[in-house]
Amino acid sequence: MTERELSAALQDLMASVCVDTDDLEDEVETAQRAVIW
Amino acid sequence: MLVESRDGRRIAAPAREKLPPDLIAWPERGGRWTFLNGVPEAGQTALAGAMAAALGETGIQVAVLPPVPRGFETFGGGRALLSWLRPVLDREGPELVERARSQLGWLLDHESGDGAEIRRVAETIVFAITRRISRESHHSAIEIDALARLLLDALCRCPSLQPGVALIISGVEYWDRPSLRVLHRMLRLATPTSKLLIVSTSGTWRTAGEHPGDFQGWVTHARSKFFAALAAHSAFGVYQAGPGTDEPPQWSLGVAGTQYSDLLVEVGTALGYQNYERVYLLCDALLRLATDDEQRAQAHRLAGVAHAQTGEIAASEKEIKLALEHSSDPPFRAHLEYLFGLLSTKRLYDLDRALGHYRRGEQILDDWGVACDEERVERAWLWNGQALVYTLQAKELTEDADREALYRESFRLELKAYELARGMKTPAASYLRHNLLANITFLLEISRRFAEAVEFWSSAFERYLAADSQAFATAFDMRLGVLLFKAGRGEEALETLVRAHALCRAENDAFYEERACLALGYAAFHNGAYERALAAFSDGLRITIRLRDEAAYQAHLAGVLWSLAAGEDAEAFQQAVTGVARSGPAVAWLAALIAEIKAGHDPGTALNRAEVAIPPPSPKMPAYIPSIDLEGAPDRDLNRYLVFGAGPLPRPA
Repeated sequence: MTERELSAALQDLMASVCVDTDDLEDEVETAQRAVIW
Repeated sequence: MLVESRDGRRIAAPAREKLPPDLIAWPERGGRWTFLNGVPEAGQTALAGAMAAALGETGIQVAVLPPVPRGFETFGGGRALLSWLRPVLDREGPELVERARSQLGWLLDHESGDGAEIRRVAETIVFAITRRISRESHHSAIEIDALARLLLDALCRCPSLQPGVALIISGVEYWDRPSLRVLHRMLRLATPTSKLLIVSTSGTWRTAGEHPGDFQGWVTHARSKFFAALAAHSAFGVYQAGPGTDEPPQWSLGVAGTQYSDLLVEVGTALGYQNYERVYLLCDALLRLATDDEQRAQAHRLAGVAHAQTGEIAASEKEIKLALEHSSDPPFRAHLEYLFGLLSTKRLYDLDRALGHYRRGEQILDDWGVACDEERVERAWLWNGQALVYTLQAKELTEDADREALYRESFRLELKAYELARGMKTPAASYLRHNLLANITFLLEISRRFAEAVEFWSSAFERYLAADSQAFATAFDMRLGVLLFKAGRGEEALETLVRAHALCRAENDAFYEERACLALGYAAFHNGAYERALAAFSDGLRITIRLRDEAAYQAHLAGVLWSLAAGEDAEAFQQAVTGVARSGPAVAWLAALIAEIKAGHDPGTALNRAEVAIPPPSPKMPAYIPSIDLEGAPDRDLNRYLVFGAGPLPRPA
């Protein structure tokens, strides 16, 4: 993956993730515990 | 400094204070726990009665606590404590009950109840433990701390308890770990005015050796290790009151469900409260109730997770191997390879071995040849695990181009994994998806793409602010504040961290509030705002004293001293150093600092020469609180290494 491809993929994901249809009320606790590895 | 909250209120940042002595002084320890070992079970009741009669003549309140149910029911001991305390509180301190309700409501309302609320809380944490082998004790630390403080507050405020209290506990070897932590916490917080005495009796037994053969043996082994940890933390003085017995007690689960599925839920609860003896007994029962090999495999897997949490890595791998031998379900087998990979990465630091397991997991799914949600979730976890390994390997590289190439490979795997998990509606897929989004942000931070990290974090998580959850807003703002600071957006960082700090305080979460103070102080200091830094570190110092957390005290003290030095307040600097030397806790670098000051160096030079540093804020809020859970800390904090470390990752000896 090149730097340009990475940048484009991140932009795509950012554009799509904010309209993903997660149920905010149900998933907020999961989001709160979204931790790293 | 005033900051606007997300709902339009004005929030004040911590304000500069003088350094009064109580900000520096470390409280003296009070209370006492006498542990009478080797008392035969048949004689314990009579001994408790005799002790109660003798202690009663001194004028203090004597509470002979009722025996706890067998099976290490979570907070069984805490309920026994409350069954004595609650009538006193209702009569003499109802306001204390109301104040504790936000954190202990489930326990206060279900003193003898079914623990339903415990289950609800623990369910959100089980994924972290079973999927990521994460140590999770922050949620239970808040409850343990609150219960200990409730009793100590009652000692001060309830007239009938003010002469002092003696708690007499028979059969303490049957107390569950969370309740034993409450006893330890009470003593940790007690001051000489607390007038608290705990007398516990226990049978004694020989441990089953280093390699117990069955779950009964593992309970005995776990008990011995935990009581040794309590003794090491100076929780009690042990007196050998009798010969005891060579035979360990027959541990039993007591009353519990008889359905396999009910017990499975119970395991999650027990793991969530780090109540490992109960986990072992439940796994034993699961194996007896199992009707097929897949159910047996699940029991072995959960026992493996429990072993991993207590640092018994060889035993953990043995149980996971047994699970692998029993199961013929490809997604489950792939998950077991993932667990092996995680153990190799997070506990053994053997990255090549970890990659081998992840590839074997993928091979299992490839050979299966079925495309379904389960397969996609497991494959995504395996890629997520590989991404962590590549990121750790990248940290070891010295050539920038090679390191960047490996980071990009990690990104590629994380992005691919997210695509696989996208759109799935199960809780497991949701947990995975959010973990991947947090990991991508973390990778951006590790690879020093700070501006992009801010943008990505906001895009991925800002939408949840609409759900109006304070706990989420705290986690969101803490992460965002640190990333904004790293991206060079200092004022925005400070505003965001002030908001996070206010949220922690509103949530009555002193553990996170202390972390927020450290992040706020660090960001302010490096922005040149020394007065604000001093205020934040002073606030943090006060919290660490309240929490009795010496390590955190040292970090905030470094912040206070550096802020005073940078602000050229030499007089206050000297007062602080003198005050800590007179009445503070042990501070590793204090003697060296005093020597440098005596050598005539100015405060900044002395701090530099004594190698006093303000620790940078961690990329995440702590999931575990070792000073309360007493389960120890890992040799290496991988998250800190990933952000701040470089060079080879040390392997355990």
